[in-house]
Amino acid sequence: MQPAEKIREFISKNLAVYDEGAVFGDNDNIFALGFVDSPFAIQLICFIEEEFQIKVADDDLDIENFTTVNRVVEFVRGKKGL
Amino acid sequence: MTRAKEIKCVVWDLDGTLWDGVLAEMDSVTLKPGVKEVIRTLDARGILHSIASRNDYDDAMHKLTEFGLDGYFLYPRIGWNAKSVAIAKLCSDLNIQTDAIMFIDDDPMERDEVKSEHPDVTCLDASQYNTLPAHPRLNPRFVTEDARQRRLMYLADTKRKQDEDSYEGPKKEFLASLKMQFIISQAKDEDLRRAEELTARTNQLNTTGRTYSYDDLRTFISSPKHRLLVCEMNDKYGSYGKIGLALIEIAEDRFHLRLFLMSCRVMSRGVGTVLLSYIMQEAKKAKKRLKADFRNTGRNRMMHITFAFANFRATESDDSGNIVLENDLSVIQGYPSYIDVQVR
Repeated sequence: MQPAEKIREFISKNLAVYDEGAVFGDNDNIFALGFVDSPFAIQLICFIEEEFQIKVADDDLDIENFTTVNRVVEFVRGKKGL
Repeated sequence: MTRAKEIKCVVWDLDGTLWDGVLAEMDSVTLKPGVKEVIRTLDARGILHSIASRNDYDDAMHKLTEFGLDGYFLYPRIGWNAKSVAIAKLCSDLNIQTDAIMFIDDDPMERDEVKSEHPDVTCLDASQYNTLPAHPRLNPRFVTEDARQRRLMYLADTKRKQDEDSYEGPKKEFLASLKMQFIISQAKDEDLRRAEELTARTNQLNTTGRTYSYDDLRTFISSPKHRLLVCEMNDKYGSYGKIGLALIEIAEDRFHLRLFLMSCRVMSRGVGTVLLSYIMQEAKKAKKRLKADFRNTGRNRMMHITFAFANFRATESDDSGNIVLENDLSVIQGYPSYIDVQVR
């Protein structure tokens, strides 16, 4: 599975989405998709760290890195120096 | 001198301790005189009870029900395992340390076995049971409403977890089925003991780890330069009690969030984000900027993540892990439909 697919799957499984069955693209803002609460945010960070073997540092904790699937993919690539 | 830590749970043996006689050997055992009152007294102070006994589970529970005591014991361990194992398991179920446990048993060998595995557990001979209400470590400095309800909250939580583990289906549907109510209000005098307790007991979901005394908190509620918010939560299983606290300092041009914490009891419910949304709305309404303190305590990364996902950004930091964040209030998430948010 590609990183984008993995992230998309994680989000659709764990986010309390407003509209069950809604389709979302890799550039759609996840904050428009469901209520992004703190447990979800924490799970997402843990998922990214474990799945892609990176460390999300304090300085990386900026919402801009996590608003869309593509942003997360870019962030992970940057971290891995790809 | 530091005060010895308060005991949070008393673990009882049954045969020869809670009652006279050996259940497996005779038809009728009798409760030790006054033991029921001892249990009730401690329960009303917010001290929990449990059991570590070598007995047949069903027989023993049946007997406890007969005595009207079954509801008082959380996670009773009745079986044939070592009591040190029972106590280790209990500590993890209740999420407490062994030094907050008192173990009472008439058999010195059992007490030694527990002591050898858990040197921090306070062990007492069964003959001492009547002295428990006067024991200094069983006399909390103050008893909050939340403490009085503690056992019932644990019982509700056990049921909640069982149902959650067995639930299959969309997350939102499950959350909606809980019928959660989240109540935000200005702290009043009667909330301050619990507020003090929260600042002292909450580590992981605490933005600064600063503790505040009753007197500190009291000055905040009468100060026009501060707002102290307290949050309460309940759902169809019962009340979680007072579970959140926020201290806002009101300056000329800004709201400054000095303290923000949530009890671990509600960690999985996402209400921290709801309270942040409320504070953001209030700041916007008052046409002020919103800043917040964060101090990395090594245990509270979750709060840093919570801030980040609510669109807070670091603007200042020093070498000792203190950060000031600011929120430009451009994006504020509304409340989710599955939580009924009330502001009083």
